[in-house]
Amino acid sequence: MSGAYWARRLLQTALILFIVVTLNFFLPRLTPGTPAGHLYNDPRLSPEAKQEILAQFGLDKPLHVQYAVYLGNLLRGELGTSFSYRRPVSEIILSRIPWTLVLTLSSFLVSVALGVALGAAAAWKRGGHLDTILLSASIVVSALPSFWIAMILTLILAFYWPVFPAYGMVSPHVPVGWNWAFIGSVARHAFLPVLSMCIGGIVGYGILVRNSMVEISGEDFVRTARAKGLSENTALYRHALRNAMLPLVTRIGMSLSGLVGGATVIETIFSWEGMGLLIVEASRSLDYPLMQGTMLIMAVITILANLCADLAYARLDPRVKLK
Amino acid sequence: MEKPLRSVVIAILCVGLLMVPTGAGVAGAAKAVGNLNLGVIADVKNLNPYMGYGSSETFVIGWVYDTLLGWDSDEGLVPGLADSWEIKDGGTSVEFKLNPNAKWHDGKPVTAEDVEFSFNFIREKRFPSFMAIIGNLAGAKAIDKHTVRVTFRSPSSNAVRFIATAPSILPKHIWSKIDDPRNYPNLDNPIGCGPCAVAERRDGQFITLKNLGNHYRSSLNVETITLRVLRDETMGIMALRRGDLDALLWSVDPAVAEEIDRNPKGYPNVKVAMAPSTSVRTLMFNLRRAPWNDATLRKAVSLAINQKELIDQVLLGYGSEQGPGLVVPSDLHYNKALGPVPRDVAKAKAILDQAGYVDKNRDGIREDKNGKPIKLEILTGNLPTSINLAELLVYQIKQIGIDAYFTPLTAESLRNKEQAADFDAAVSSVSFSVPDMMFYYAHTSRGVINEGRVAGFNYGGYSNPEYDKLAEAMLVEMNDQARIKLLRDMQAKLAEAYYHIPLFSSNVLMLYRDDRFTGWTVEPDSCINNSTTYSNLVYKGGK
Repeated sequence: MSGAYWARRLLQTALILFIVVTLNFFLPRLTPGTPAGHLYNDPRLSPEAKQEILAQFGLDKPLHVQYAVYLGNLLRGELGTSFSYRRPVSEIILSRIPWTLVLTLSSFLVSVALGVALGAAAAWKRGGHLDTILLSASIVVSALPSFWIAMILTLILAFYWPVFPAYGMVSPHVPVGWNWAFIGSVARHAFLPVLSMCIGGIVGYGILVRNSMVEISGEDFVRTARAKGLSENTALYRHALRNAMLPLVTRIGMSLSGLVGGATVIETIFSWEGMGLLIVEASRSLDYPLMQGTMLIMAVITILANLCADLAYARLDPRVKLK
Repeated sequence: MEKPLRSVVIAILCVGLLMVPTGAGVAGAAKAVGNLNLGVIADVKNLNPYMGYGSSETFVIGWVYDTLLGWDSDEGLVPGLADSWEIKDGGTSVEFKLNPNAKWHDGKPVTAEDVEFSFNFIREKRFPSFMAIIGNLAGAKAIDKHTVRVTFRSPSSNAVRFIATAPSILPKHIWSKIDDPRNYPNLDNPIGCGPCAVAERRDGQFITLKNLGNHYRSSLNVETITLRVLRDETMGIMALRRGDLDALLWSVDPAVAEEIDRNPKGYPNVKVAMAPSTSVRTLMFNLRRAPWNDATLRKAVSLAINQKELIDQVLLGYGSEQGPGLVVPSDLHYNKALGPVPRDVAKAKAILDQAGYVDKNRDGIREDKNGKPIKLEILTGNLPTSINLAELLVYQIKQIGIDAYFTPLTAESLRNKEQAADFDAAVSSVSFSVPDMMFYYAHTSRGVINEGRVAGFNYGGYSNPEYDKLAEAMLVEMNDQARIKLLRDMQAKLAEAYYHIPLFSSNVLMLYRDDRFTGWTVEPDSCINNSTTYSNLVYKGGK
């Protein structure tokens, strides 16, 4: 990795960020309606009063002026004040990210760990029971939308057999903080959403690894490893699996932005106040500063995740050179 | 009335509605028992009484803060923080006498200075939700410790209702110290003078209100009210069925109500409450466009409409037929002489024949006076129920030989077409529960086109000098009876015009459980979410 590589990469990143920031500003404004619509559409308002309302939301100036103000605020690290919450956007986003990570990170870790293990094992004994089950599960699960899985799990585990809470993130009256009552309450509330997300994730990662492993296990170096008399586990995990990881790394890189972006559908069903729900809310209420803030965070994380994936590629496969 | 506006008007008026006292005297703290759990869709994002517009926000603000007066659908204005009020100077000022026992939650007395501060604060800080009245609000002045006078620039009957029932009164000793009140969410321990205080709150999860039990007027019987935020309606229904909640504070889909009504054993203790709404779905014509500028043709269309069929098919029966005056029977100013027009296809055909709209070429479609086939494009929303409604309308109108068809549009595109007066007819809705709206939706000045856009909400361009005179008089008439008479005369004029043809009024459908609390009371529009319910609720026991 040369200095030139890093310079080029940084330039690319800056350019992409600028494009994202620009789109971020203009796209919400292309959405039909005005953020102040619910106030602005009062038939009793005089044209002057309407103009004053727009001014209060900073929407009375020409678009290019609004854009310049937005860029200026961004350079000062300000994401603005939410139209609906009347609070700084950064404060709202920061309060949501940990809750989203509870769901997405736990389901991501479980999905990757179990998916890789199952996928590798299925490929190693191709045509075996596990392989058949994984292939069949992938067909079934890919045909089932996540909201349907969530609803069925909720029906069974929260209503007919009420073991877990069906909605919310923590029970009322539980003191907030690092205490067992709070952690336990959050864990119980997170169980169903995490499970709903894991089912698709495990099968998805499993199939990816399985297919990659099937391809790799026919390669000469795997045959050599076996011929050398290495144990099956060593041949599987040290040689085959490591080489089968490249597509997985790409997929993980792509998933990283989703970790912060949250799971909109699952968060909505379980009333989980994460980033996914925040993005939906911001779009519904045309809360421009909140829309811009959430999308910007997502974009930055996606750019960083892609950079990380490229670096990981180079580490995993010596043939890949970053120039 | 258009949906976003309607929701804001209802939300603002809800503050007043929740203030309506339904019991005499001070409720004893010892009587209040039971924890009421209500499901809501919207989160409480801020509790700034002048910046919180959402339904959950106005609910909480309505319990924590008081308004000067309340609004009762039968009685009109009723006492709130003010025991009495007197309109003076021909309607340009109102004097309110405050209840001397009212106290802020921090123990300080509520005085006329707080009211003076609140109204002047609204005027000076220009809060957007009150922008419509700021122009006419001249100011407020404390006369003595418990008397305050609010003055207007010009007399307006609705200004009195709005100023007395919509803005919450704020404690001067707290809000005068807030530098940027428009960006102040007021979430931490809001101090009001209402019956309840916020006991516990978690963003996007729940908010619990505690009945303080020392209010000068409230007869709230429950100890706490918790709003649980459920973002998914199905999950809310399941939670209600399981017994986590006592009621859902949103109107459910008719299909849900039908399922529960049909299968009560599947939903033990769950009941459907049904209330008429104040909103009327209509078919609005563009009176600027021929041949729809001919009232005879519009009258024939109105006779072709079968409201019952529309209600049965679109609302699964959960609605009511409406008269051409467009005001629902539950409103004080409803004109009883204007009942629903029954369908009469034969009469419609006869009217068309007599007016010269006949099918000369026998292709099943009548021709206008220039020999062109009569076509009617109906603009409608793109939601399934709107499309379903438009399909039925087309079918019914075709029965009288008019080539009707519909075009589904997004809400924004539909509004753009209406504002540009670029339509034959559109599926619309009006709500005249706030009587002033009869001016804003049909006065000639509100239908004038400026720079290609209709100036107000009279998109179809209805213009009738007699109606205009009545509407202008209504706005400044301070005598209730005289005002009601004017409003009824205005309805008669609208009925003659066939400008908005009524299609139906859908019912508000709410779900509640009757195993832990009894006393749920249904009122128009608010259904079970009204002050009478909260005064009547009696805790029966249970978890």
